Amino acid sequence: MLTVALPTGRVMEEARTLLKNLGLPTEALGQGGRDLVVEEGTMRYLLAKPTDVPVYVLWGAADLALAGSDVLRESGAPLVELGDTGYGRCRLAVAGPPAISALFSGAGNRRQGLRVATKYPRIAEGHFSARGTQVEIVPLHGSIELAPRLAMADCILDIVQTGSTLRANGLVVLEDVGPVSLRMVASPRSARLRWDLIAPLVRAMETHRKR
Amino acid sequence: MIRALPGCRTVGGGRAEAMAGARDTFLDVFRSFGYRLFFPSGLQSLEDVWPRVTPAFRRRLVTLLSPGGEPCCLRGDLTLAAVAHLVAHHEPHERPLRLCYADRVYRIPGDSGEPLERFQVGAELLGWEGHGADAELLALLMRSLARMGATGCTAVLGDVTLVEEALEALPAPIGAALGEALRRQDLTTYQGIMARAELPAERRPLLEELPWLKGDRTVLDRAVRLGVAPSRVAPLHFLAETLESLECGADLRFDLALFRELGYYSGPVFEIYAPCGGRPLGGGGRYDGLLASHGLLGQALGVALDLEALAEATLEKKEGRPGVMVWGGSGTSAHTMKVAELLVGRGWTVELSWIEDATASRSLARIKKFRWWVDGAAESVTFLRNSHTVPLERWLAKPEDQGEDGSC
Repeated sequence: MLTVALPTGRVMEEARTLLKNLGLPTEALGQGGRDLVVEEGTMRYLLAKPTDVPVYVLWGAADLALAGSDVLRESGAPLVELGDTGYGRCRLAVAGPPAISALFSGAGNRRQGLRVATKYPRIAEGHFSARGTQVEIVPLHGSIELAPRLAMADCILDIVQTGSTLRANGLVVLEDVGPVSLRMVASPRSARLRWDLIAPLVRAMETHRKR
Repeated sequence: MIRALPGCRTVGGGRAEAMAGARDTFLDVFRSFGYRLFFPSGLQSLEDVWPRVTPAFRRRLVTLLSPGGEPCCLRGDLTLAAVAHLVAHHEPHERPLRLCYADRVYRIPGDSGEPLERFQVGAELLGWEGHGADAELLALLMRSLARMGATGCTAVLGDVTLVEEALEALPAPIGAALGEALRRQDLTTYQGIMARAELPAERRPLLEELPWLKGDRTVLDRAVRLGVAPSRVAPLHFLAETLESLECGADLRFDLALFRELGYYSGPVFEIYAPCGGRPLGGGGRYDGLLASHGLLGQALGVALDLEALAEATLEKKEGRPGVMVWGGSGTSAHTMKVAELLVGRGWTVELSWIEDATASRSLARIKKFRWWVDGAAESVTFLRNSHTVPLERWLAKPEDQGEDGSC
């Protein structure tokens, strides 16, 4: 039996669609019960908070997981990334009020000392430090877009899908950080010792993505 | 209040016992085969370490200045210390040198919350020539794991030179990027580079399949079909055959894209996985290049395992046998000590209790989960579950049979 950790919330439905397209049983997953462990056929699904998904895999509670590349990058967990599912596409971006957009068009020192609200402190630190810019990180867990309006931060680093939430809060994209999508990952142990079970899923995922 | 510093490790209780048991077994097995104990310095010269590890590992070194003002780091790796020991203290004719150790290493925690300090056990075989040493080290390792009760462990074998050779004919930036993606185990990036890069047609099949070459020994044949010279996989075949004939073959798997973090490996490498947990217990491999970097010719091989992870894998099995509490509250200390020594001589673990009140001592023994309580002065043994008491001499003759069923 393969155990797969799945993120609840925003990408859960996409994850279920993907699993179904890979030929895996997903009926019980779609019933929306309160069970956090769902067994179907030869699969066991663990439903977890998205930020916890890499932890379940790293500690060996799950062989595999579907997790956003943003979550994986932020966790820094040394997992084996098996491939891009092509689902859950969006972008990580720095956004802020149009008034500070000029700071992002010139040299890095213009951005020195900016306060950046984010639920991705590690990614934000890496993004700005790689450009030689020191910023102050304001770690938040939600409603990030509020921070500039309340003068808690100059800008934010967050997921951008359609941009409607940004617009509603008077923010614009200032700098692209990178694409985000749902990735399939495995623990180092499962990738090496259960490859015979995992490889067909990775092949199926690649085939499905190329269609 | 004593504040525990983040990432520092203080271990006691059953876990410490399990760690000690695993450590002792590991060292016993290796010392029986001529590996000599080695206690390296806790400080290493940064000048020696820096050029020999990957940039990623350098960022994890805990650097500081020695009292003499020299740039140093807390020992981040024991293999480097072993090689330095060989260079500094042994003449060429003394090689090969076999070393084993149990000590701490210090690394700045990575992103996934690893501790600052870890306990490691390991062994190094330095300066040997010819075949056999890889099999020696791996066989002893698998034997020691079995003896310490870490059953169901699996060794995953690879060879970093296979990866290097697959990448070396490529334009340098592409080869480096593919190598880095494999090191980070990021197959998304690897496949992305493969899809975009213009590669020699004859190299593409192997490079595309390289991350997929995982599994049983048949992956070696698949590698040959993809263009790897049979002589290049021969060392892994030889190793597998030797281990199979030593009945360790069932515990072997292969991953031909296997990389090890430290970056000084230059041949067959391996990782050891317990039945539970997502990460390896540790691993090792050939590092001839590291020896060469010290101006020494010859081959070198080592293994290091995380002692806490090992203890985790053996903990349940090691908690089986309780010891004996020996009470010395009513007799002379010397007599009680002699009774305790008699028990230790018969293979028992004892804990002495000097409380004056026998009832309090028995209560303490029950709390500490002892099965037997020995009155040193009266030379009698009480089975704590039902308070049956028998003479020590009779109990020593057949301890497991007495008391439990009231047969005495």
